[in-house]
Formats: sequence, structure tokens, C-alpha cells
Amino acid sequence: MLAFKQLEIKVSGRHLFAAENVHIQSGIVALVGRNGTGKSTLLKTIMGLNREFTGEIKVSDKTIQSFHAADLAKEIAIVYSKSSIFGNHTGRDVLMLGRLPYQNAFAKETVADREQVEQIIDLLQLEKFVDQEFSVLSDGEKQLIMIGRAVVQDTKIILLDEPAAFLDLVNRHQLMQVLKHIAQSTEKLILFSTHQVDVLPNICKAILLIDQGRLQLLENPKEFISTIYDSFGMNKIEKDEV
Amino acid sequence: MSLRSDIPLFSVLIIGVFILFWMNLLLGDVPMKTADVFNILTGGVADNSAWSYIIESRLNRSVVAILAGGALAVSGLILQVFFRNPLAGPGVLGITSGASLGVAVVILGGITMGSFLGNLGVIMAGVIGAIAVLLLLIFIARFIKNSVTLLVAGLMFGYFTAALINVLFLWANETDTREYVVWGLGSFEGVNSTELMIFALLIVTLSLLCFLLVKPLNALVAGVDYAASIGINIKTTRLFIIVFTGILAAVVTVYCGPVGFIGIAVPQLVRVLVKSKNHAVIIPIVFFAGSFLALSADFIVRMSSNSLPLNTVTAIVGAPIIVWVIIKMNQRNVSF
Repeated sequence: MLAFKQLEIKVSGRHLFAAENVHIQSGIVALVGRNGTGKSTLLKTIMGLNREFTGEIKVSDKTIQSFHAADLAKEIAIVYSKSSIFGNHTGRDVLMLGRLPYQNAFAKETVADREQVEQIIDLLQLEKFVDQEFSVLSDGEKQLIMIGRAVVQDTKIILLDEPAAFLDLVNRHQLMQVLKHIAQSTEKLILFSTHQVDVLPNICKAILLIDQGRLQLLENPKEFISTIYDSFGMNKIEKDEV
Repeated sequence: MSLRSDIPLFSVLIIGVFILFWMNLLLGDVPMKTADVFNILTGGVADNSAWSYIIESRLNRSVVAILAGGALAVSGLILQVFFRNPLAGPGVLGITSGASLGVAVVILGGITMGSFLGNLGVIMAGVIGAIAVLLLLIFIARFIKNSVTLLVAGLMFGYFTAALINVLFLWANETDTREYVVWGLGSFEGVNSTELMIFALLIVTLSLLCFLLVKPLNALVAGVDYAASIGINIKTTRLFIIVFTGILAAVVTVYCGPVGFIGIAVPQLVRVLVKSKNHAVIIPIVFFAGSFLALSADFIVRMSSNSLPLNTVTAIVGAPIIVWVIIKMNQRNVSF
């Protein structure tokens, strides 16, 4: 579904990280790495918004450069950690933005568009607040709407850039459950960056780890935590403290 | 949500514009009868031959008000969405000031609007001034993420260009200075039929071109990052926005002076009233709401026998609307 081949990503000419051969199939995958290792840059690059890389990024067996921006929007959707809407849009209006890539130049809403939105409201149980104004919703509710918007976009891949960064403990838990639910009921790849690694063995089937300028795919949930701690040098720090 | 729910608002605006248009033809220092006006408009002759001149001047003036009000309002709408700030508008951001500087250079340099070439020269100068300010703003916006700070920068451009114009006065003679000062008060009056043709052609074409921005504007309410992720080409969009809003505001400024408040108050009001979130619906409603406000303001100016300047009237109507919107925004705790 998503593949990297001999990929090297740079930022202003500086080497950030490289990946040799990585294939990711559908399901939930976490993207882990310390601050500044390039998680957001990787997500941006997959979206086609950062051209500073060599090698290949393939989505559905086509390189991302071969897509028009408007067509790539039918393959990949994204959720950022914080969102604000300019205007008095309701949650439902925001969900409808996900249909934009499929609409004509006058952004005419079709019956199919509305059905798609209804379907996602049901799937993610958004009825309670979907008709309230977006700006008055809580951060947790806003983030659920933005995830809903990404699902409405009807793409094979959903990227989330630290989606839980501004959420409390309960909302974080709920967010993970929602992502699980989406992965179970659709055939999508859900790739989210996070710093909260302890919960990952219960949620993900694989982890993308960026460390020491290298991107690797971890596929054994039992070894997730130990591998991440090892590569961050955390075990050593704990020993020193004792 | 659906287009249908905004039809009442749209109809009220169209009817309102039509009624004001007729009132502007009929009423004034010389009141006219409907039959006479109708006669003259359909090419007939009225009892008094001077009346056809009066009608022509009133007709031109009303058409200018309709187009100028619409253009300023649409330009303001697009800028508000692009800068994600309800206080943005061609006036506040200094775009009208940029146009004014261009106009000042030409007028104070001694070229009058009378000739066709003079006309074209002033338009070009105004457009260059407006677009220069917009480019400067977008350049500064790279370093300033806070959009309130950006507005302050826009206001400073306004003061700066005003100061530059004052410096230009040093070299200008009395007639040119007077011409410029009168122009600066703002007016929909005094556009002759040839000028009206150029004016109408530019405004109508550009307003129609704004429909190219329907999808980008719909997406930009969620911010540039989200807009890019739903397939909007940000570079092209930014270019279109600069060119369309810059030229619209500049053309109006050249012919009518720096008309304030319409560009910022109208989009704010419409955003509260309109149900649809689709700019294919919002753009035409904002246009006619701008026409309506401009015609109303001009009607008041004419009822005062042209003794009140246009900008005085738009400020009296517009400023309270803007304050009301700010209060409303703070109540809802919306950050901008």
C-alpha cells in the first residue's frame, strides 16, 4: 500500500534519515522517533508537499510524483495535531470538506457526498456534537471530527501527525479506540506519529522507527518497547539512575 | 447547507439593489417621474431635454456604485478567508493605500483622468501600487504567523503610503493637489460613459474569475496545510488571490477613491447570515450585499445634496458593524 525504496530525506540540504526497502500494508502503524528526527517531514513528504528527497515513495504501486495533487488527495488524507476553522462551520460542514477532491469546480454537493458523510457520522458515533459549531467543540471532539473528515475523504491511507498531542488521557484512549475501529471496519492504512509508546503493542501491528538517521520497520509487537528503548539508549539511563 | 436555504437572502438582496437603483434614478435635487425615466432609458425623449443628461449621470453613478460595492466586498471576502482573519480587507491591509500611492504619483505628476491614455495610466499605476503592497504583505506573512500582527503591518503600510503622498504634495501644484484631495474623499460620481465601459468590463470579468477560487476558498477555511492535503495547489491559489483581489480593489480605488469599510463589513455580515459554506454561493451573495451597501451609502450622499463625502457615510454604517462582529467573536471565544 505504501512503500519506500532507497529513500533519503533531507531538510535544507541536511541529511535527515534514510530507508532502504520498506513495505507497509493496511492496518494501524505507529511512527516513532525523538523530536527533530523527521516524523512530520516524512508525513509531509508522503503527502507530496516536500520535494527534497531521493529514491522512491510509492502509493498503490505508483510513485507520488506521478500523481496530480488533486488525485493524490484521493489516495492520502491527513489529520494534524491542532486544527481551527475560519467561519461558523458545524462539525458536519467540516466533514463535508473531505468530499472536496471529488466535487466539480463549483464544489457542488451530491447525494452520494451526503450519504458518505452520514455513514462516517454513524461509524465514528459523532451524532451528539456533529451539528454544533466546530469552534465551540472541545479539543477531543474537534479531533474526532477531523479524523472523521479524513475518513470521509475516502482514501486508502490516512496519516495522523501526533493526533493526541493536545488531548487528555481519556481522550487519547478514545482516539486510539477510534483508530482501531476504523482499521477493523475498513481496509485502510492508518499511520500515526506519537511519543506515547507504552500503549503501542496493544494497538499496532507494526512500528516505523526513525533513529540515528535510519528508518526501520518493526513487525513484532512483543519487541516494540524493548527495541525502541534500546535504540533511544533508555535502558542505560535507567541503569545509571539505580 | 443546501443552496436552497440561501435563496431568500439572495432574493432580498437583488430586490433591494433594484429598488435602490430606481430610487437613485427618480429622487434627487430634481425629482423625476417613473414614466419619464422609463422613456429616457428606452431611448425616447422626455419633456425637458436636460433631463436625459441628469438621468445619464444618475444611471452611471448607480451602476458604478453597484459594481464598486460588489468588487470591494468580494475582494474583502477572499482576503478574509486567505488571511483567516475577519478584520482583513482591502482597506485595512493597505492595498487601497498602495493603489492610492500609484494614483497620487500619476495625478500629482500632472496627468488628468480625462484622456483615455490618462485613464489607462492611472489604472495601471493603481494596480501596480495595490499588488506591490499585497506581495509585500505575503512576504511578511512568512515571518509573522500571528494574523493580528499582520494586520498591524498592513495598517502601517497605510500610514507609510499616506506619508509618502504628503511628501509628493510638496512638488504638486494647487490644482493637482485639489484634484487628489477630492478624489480621496471617495465618490461614485463623475464617471463618464466611456470610463464606465472600461470599469464595468474589468470588474465583471474579474468578479467572474473569482469563481475559479471556489474550491480553494472552501478548503482554505481549514488552513493552508489542510487545503494542500485536499488537492489545492497553494502556489497557484495565492497567485490568483493576489491578482484578483489586487486588481479589483485597485480599479475601484482609481475610479471612486479609497472607499472604506465596505470591503471588511459586508463579508462579515454575510458570513453570519448565509447558511451555505460553499463559496460558489457566498461570492455572489457577498457581491450583491456590497452593491446594496454601496447604493444605500450613495443614496444618503445624494440626499444630502452631495455635501456628505462617501467615506463619511460608509464609516458611519460600517464601523458599528465591525465593532459588533468583534464583540460577537469574543463572546464565542474564537481566536483569530
